[in-house]
Amino acid sequence: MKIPETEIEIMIPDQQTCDSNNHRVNNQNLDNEFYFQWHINNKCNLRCSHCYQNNYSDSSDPSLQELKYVADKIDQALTVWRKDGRIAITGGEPFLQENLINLLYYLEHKSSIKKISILTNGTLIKDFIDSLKIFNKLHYVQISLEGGKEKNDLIRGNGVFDKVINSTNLLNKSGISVRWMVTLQKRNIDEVPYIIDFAIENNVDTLIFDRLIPAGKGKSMKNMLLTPTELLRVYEYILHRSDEEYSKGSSLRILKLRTLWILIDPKRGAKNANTPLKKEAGASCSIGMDSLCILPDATVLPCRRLDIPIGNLKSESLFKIWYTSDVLWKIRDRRNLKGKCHSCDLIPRCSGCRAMAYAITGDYLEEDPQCWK
Amino acid sequence: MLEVKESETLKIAEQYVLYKLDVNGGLFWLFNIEEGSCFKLNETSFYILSCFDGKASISEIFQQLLSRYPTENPEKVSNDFTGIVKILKKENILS
Repeated sequence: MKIPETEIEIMIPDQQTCDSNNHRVNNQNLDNEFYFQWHINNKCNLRCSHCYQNNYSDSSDPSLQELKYVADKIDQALTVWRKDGRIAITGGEPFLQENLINLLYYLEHKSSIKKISILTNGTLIKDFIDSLKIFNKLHYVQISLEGGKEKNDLIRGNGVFDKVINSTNLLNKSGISVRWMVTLQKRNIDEVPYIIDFAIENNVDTLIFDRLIPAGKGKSMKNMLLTPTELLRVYEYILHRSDEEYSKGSSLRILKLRTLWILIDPKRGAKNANTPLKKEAGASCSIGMDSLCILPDATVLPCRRLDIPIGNLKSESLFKIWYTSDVLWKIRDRRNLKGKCHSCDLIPRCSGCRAMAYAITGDYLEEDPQCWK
Repeated sequence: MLEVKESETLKIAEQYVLYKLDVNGGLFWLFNIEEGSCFKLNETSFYILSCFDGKASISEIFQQLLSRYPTENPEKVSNDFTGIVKILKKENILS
């Protein structure tokens, strides 16, 4: 075999990003975004039974200096990768982190960071409304809600429902976009129609239904998982209601850019130019493609629900973690997926939930246990 | 002026990591894990870089290259190879 001269010449470094179809190092998505879910504290005033966290101690909650250090690492990576940063600040309960507002100031001035959101339980917002209004990059505040007053408070604690509604109203009045996030489980599956109606009534901008992942405190809640058939039925209902609200011109967007949704209607995949934003359904797992999770002590996870540390920003560069993590590489190479996922023709647009596979089987490469296909 | 001595032993600098993904005939990268840059390689360049282990000399690596990829014009390949090594030294990829 001869050495083509041009092949040797290609060795000269000439590119900053890589793309190789479904085996990408940086996802060349249309939005060119990279998502960080950043947990800035562990402390929380609630103890929701299904929480993926099991440590609520504030002993390792970072100082402002430590938060800025992590922010600089994020900024450095985004700048080198020429990605638009989308950062979701959460906890614990992020409004219990005394440095939250100062951190938002710091992030507001980072040019690589384009959008910031806050993921909260919604119980402590009222004292922060005036502070939040000034941040141009604050894209939305996401509040968790599990159903009507009775069901929500059964899961999240007494009095939480009323506080969530109050916070939603305050945010709306302040012109800050509100998202509600629902964790689907056996206890609240019947609440879905009500939640959609109630979201419209309360001028919620976006509604998200996520699956319960039995991890952390919620590890013992496998009995609350929906069966594949139950999940299919509720997804079909949500899709139907989503289409109905779209045709009525409702302002509510029901976000369906998650794994498994594509199985219902493969034509609706994310970034399909022919599908209106509000009708999009289905997306591949973003692990190893364009997202990372950072914990309060700077530990990096592939995803908050996939609790396998892949490094720590105190001792390693974000680049080292991203480029050398064995977990990320195994997930990037979709041929490693097992069971139904291995042979599924929709793998490039779904890939199943790796966190769900890990929570149920102990193997993050196993098939998604809730897939109905 | 950077020079390349045949007896010299070089290795990939600590901040660089080679990675191979065995798919579509092979995908090959060189990552800078400190500064974040990422270079897509072909199989040949990946092979050459992976030979720089700090033990084999440049001339030994060149001989390995020739036995793996026989050529009718070793002189031309030698010039290309030397040129590339110079560039990699200049870029501090090999040290």
